[in-house]
Amino acid sequence: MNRPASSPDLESDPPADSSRSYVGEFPNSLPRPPDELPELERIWRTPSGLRFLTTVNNTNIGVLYIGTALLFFVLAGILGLMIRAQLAVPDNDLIAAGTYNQIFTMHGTVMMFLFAIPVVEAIAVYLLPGMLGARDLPFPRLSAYAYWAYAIGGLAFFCTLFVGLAPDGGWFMYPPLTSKEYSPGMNADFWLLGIGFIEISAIAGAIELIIGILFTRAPGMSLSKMPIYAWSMLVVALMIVFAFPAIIAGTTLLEFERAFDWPFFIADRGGDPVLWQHLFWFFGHPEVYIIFLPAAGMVSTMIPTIAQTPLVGYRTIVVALLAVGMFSFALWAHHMFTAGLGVMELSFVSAASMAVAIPTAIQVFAWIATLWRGRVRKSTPTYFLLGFMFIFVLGGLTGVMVAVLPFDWQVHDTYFIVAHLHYVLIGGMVFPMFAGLYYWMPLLNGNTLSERCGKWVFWLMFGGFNLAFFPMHISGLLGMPRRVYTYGEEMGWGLWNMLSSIGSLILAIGVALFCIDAFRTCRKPARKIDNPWHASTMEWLESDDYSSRSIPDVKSREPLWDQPNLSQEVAAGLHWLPGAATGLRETMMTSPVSATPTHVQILPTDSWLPLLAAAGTAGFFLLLTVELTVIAFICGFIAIASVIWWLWQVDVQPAAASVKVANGVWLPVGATGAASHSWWATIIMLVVDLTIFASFLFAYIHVSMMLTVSCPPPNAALPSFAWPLLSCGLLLAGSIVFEVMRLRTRNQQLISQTGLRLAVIAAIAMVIGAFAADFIGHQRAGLDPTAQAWSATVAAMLAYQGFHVIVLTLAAGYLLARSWSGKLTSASRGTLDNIGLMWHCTTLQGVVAAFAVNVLPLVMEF
Amino acid sequence: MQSHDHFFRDAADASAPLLLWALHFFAVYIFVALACVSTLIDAQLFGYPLIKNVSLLLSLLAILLVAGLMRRAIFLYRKTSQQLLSLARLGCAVLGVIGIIWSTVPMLILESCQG
Repeated sequence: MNRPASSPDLESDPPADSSRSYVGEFPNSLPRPPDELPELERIWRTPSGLRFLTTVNNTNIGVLYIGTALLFFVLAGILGLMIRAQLAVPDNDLIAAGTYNQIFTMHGTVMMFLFAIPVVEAIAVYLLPGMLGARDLPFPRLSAYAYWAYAIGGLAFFCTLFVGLAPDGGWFMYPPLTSKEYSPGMNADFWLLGIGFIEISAIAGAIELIIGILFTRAPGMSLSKMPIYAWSMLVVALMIVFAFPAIIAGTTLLEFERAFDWPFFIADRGGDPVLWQHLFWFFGHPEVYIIFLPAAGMVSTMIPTIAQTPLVGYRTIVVALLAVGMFSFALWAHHMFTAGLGVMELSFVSAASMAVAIPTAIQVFAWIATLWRGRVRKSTPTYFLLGFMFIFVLGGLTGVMVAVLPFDWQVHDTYFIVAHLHYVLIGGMVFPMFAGLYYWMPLLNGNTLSERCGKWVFWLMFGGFNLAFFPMHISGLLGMPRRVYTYGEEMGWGLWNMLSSIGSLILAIGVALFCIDAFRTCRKPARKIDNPWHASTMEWLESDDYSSRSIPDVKSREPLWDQPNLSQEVAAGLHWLPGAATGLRETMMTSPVSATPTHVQILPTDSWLPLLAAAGTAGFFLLLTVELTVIAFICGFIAIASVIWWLWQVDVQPAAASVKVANGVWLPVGATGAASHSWWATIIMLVVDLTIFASFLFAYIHVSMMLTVSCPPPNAALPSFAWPLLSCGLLLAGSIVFEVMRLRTRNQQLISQTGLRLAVIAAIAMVIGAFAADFIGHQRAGLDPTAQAWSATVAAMLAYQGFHVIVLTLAAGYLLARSWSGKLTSASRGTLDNIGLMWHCTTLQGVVAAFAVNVLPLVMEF
Repeated sequence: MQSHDHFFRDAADASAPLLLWALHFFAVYIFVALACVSTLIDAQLFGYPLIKNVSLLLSLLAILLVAGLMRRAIFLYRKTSQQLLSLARLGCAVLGVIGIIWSTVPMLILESCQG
């Protein structure tokens, strides 16, 4: 990062009155220094040419992200058309059965994992900086890494289709079909590792969104004034944190089974295929809402604009968002109504499935009431929003139908379900997204998409969609199963399938027409962004690479309606932080509830490192799949080295302790401990980590419950009690040593750098010793993960702990390196604080795992 | 500037009824799932099946707690009805009550360990 020699706003010590509010009508006054705006532009300028690939600005990353996600939408749509071409007539042999399996698997996988989830995060990272009034979200390099990991990994994954290596076990990859026995090729491995990119990318995005929404809102934008879209993304990001770990654990276990013959899901060896279904759907059902809620947030943002009236029931919608987020976690088993679970358990899930309809309906009624109260302008976004409501409500109604157990038992795995899920997902997400693309397209270069063409696009898509998917309800009720590559004429499904195929073609023509219009609009010369819809939210403020010239002082929920001169005031530099106070990229951090300014956070600049790290990550996973081990590990090394280099450049002592952000207001630069954004990001990452561990623990308990003779099973044994005791003791001792050292480092006088280094070395030695004790204990007890599922689940938890020990060893080395280079001081100790959190988390996991493995068998009854 | 935010306290306050619903849901789900594959399947409590009675007791406890949360939410809403937190507290309480009661209904009409 380049640091200027001096800046008029940089001071080492703030004036005595730095804690009071700004002086005057506006935070800053005119005239502004003449070099302030050129300096801001210089610092935030997007690199051109090939160096554009180094951009980390979330607005640029958002555009790339949206473009790539739409590319996958089109590619998966083409696969959908191929499916419909095959099913158009009975006894068709256009596509061979094996190829058809790959096509429908890739259609579902790409639509769900490479389009739907990425696009909602993409739209969020693009819109939120402007909507929240932030210069940028707090981890731009993380966003860039998330994007590149997704783009490189996703494209490589898609290309497996061209060499016949695409997965073919359905988008939910149920074992035993996907076990090594029935899927011996690499196809399933590509799915399991390919999904890894999406997991990494989604979680990185979630961290960025949670911290960004809670801590980078413009001053005055309290939670009750926060745009409803930000609320929906906050709920969604939290859902990602708790939902994705289940699929991470599931894919890891299935890949371990396939690669090392650890039989987690093989019934003959004590495993259970239903375990996969639990893990998959504990992610999979919330995922439906992870996709729908951002769309609902967009709808709640656009409807007030098209009706030119505030959203009816803003606070009720916030409650509904929270409730949908919570209820959705209890619905996983409604995908397993025919899997043989107990009727009582299924009834609980059925009840929750109906309960979730209430908060969803609250939102729908609020939208209808808003449209009723306002004066609706007929535009293309309006058409798509009305289309969304029609289709989504129908999908919701069939959702209530399949929540009823006896009905679901009849239609499970039929085309009725295919119709239902497309009504929910296309109605609930694709139509709002298209409305959003029409609505927000002017933010890209000031030009709107053609209204005339837009109407054609809408009617083609709306008509085509209903013609394609409504007949599937009927073919499903007539008994047509999913995933069949053809059917006989005597079944009587020909007419309905032909209608569906014609409808899908019409739908595709609508999408193609949109693509042509979007391409044409993007090539038009850029125009000034002038809020063409007369919207109330701040993404429509005049902006550049640095977002708005000054950060708005927000006074209401509809700032552009209630503060009519806001745009001019902000552009003139009258509001907060009108320049680059530190001479670097920076944004204002505010408190999570009231959005009171707390400090100025320096942001990282453009760099090749996120791209390198992402390419290394993608190379590692993909090359490992094709067993090019040496090159794969070189890629892994590049990824780790890039991340370390990237981290090395952050957490440095700022040149100035505080800077002026408004008349009479000085804020500290950076923060440590619980006031730091990186501390909270680490907490979120550890929640993900603990939830993954909980999923492994669940697998262990689930498999233990299936034992019929004894626990451990006859050909397994528990380690001698001394080993886990020693392991837990060493883990706790390591944590205590680290924590004492960390607390003393707060006051530099209490510990020398030598003392700090010795403490780190002692603590890591204890952690390694603890793992060694655990490992030796199990080895002496004869742990053989290939023997049966119980041993495999124990070994999985042990391996996960081993992974943490490797990470902590790297982290300890990194800490020592920072200490030796003088970068670890009481003022730049974020690294130390964050590694401390990781340390204690590892201890917690180790102790819980030891307790579960060694104590649970003692209380089990047979 | 100093901030006096209590984000987690407020978030927990507002969403407590939904958290209680989640706790109740997973508690009864896990209890029934575990008990139905254990020796508890034939156990009796006061002359009735133990699994059903324990599930109903857990539900009764949850309903009492969520009713208490709702009463508090109504009381606080009357004092500060314009605040987001007040309505969030009340709304979550209403949805929490509905969710818990709906989860309890199957216990009243079904045998615990069918299927």
